[in-house]
Amino acid sequence: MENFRDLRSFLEALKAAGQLLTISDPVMPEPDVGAAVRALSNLGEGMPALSFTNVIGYPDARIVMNVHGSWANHAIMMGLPKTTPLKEQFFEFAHRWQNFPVPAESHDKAPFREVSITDDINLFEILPLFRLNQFDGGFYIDKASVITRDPNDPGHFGKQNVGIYRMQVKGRDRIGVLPSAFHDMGIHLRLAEERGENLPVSIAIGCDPIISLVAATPLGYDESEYEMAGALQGAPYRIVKSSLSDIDVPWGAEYLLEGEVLCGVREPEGPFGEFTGHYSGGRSHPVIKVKKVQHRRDPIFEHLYLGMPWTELDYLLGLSTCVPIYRQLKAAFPAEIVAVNAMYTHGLVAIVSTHQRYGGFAKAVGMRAMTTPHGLGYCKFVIMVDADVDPFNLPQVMWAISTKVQPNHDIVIIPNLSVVPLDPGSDPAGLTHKVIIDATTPITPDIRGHYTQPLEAPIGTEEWEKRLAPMLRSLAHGNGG
Amino acid sequence: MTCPRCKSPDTELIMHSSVVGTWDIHLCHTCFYSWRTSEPASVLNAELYDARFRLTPEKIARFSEFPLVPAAFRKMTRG
Repeated sequence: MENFRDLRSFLEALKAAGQLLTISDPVMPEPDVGAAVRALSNLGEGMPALSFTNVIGYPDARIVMNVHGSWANHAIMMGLPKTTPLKEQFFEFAHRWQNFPVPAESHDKAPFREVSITDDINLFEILPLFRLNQFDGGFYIDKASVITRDPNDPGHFGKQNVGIYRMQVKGRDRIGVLPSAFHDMGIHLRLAEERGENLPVSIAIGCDPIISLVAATPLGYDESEYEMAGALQGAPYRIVKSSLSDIDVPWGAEYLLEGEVLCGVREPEGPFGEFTGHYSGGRSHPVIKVKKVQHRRDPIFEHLYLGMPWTELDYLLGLSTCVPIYRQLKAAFPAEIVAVNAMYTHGLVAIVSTHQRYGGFAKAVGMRAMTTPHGLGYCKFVIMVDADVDPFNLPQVMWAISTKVQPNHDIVIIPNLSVVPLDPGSDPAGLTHKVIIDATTPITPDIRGHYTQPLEAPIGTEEWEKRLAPMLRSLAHGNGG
Repeated sequence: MTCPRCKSPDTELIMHSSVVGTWDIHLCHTCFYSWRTSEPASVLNAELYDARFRLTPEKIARFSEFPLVPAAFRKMTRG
């Protein structure tokens, strides 16, 4: 399987597959770049990455956006044909996960060491920063791999964390960062602050696509993102040491920022247009002081647009949210769980496809989904569907809801559960009722409704699908005969 | 230059574009808002700045801390 050692090799692959669009006309940093990427998301599915090579006022900058912004791009990242159906990509992701852990491969040199800055750092001059949405409180870095170690167990490779956290550049060498208390970086920060110490941090911008995917995946606290990246790409992941700390970083990064999260410091940050399609409001967040910047001679600045779904963020988080919940449900109910689609607003809505043991079983699975680690902060709606309903096929899911659900039996509301505080409906922030919608067919002893005569496809339909598929492909290429 | 969002005078010109005369970036040291002089007037002009997003010292003082500084550190710094 092909794996990508850095962002540029992946961009080459996207270009070869017709999935990279270069905008060489002059554009303004605001509002053009954010608007162009928002427009791209509005135009449909299968969208390419965008490369901006002529941003007014940044003569040497190259800004790339929407790198993970379609299932076609995901398929290319995984070395699959770009038309691979989503459900197949889901099962491939889950399959490769089983190879975890694959030991990382340490290197001494890395391309980002070409340029080094330690004096008079000005992040506004080093990075081609820009505002994404009109009322963002500033210019953000929102797709970097942020790496920290456990200050109480600094030699533990697995407890080293790679995560993506939103960061507002708030000064020449100051960055506001949002590590939630329930994220691994939030744990590292708490432990450091309990010791009265700053927390060393490295920030890698413009990485290969796999590490961004893994950084967005909720792994166990002592599970290494680098060893998971190796499992997903089918080859050891390349890492290199930071220069100011013992932190390992992606070898292929375009930029590396090194510094410390300042102990006990909180400063105003935000608002920021978030994945919920609403601004986050302002809060006081921790602060990173940057001490050293390294980058390639002609660095590529990778950034991500987010806002009302769907955007690149929904693609980036989609499968990496589904697969952990699937694996956790599968561990509890190995013979029953078929697939999980938790791609909607980072899993605030999840759809679970399952076989049933007996009447009432699906509702219990729905509750289990809410008690998975990710479900504790998401899974506000869990829709349960039968094993023969593809949870990634929303027309099928709508059919199941419209014909299998009787509200007096199948809507279960569980009051006052935890949810991500960014959910604008939560009140107080962080608390919400949650709902299970059981759209599975009632089975004994839950005997009700009229489900004994399901309509099956005409005999021979599957053969016709196989026969028609190549004919349709030929038709699409203009060989209709 | 006054901050368009919180009207603080404590702001700084933090960057000139390397293409002279194209735009500058300013930063507010009170609310940490940053802006580029080429942006639309709606985010540069304090009078036009959307009231839903304006900040005052009182609003900033009410910002919640997230994540909370651990009690153990607060105790440490109090001696």
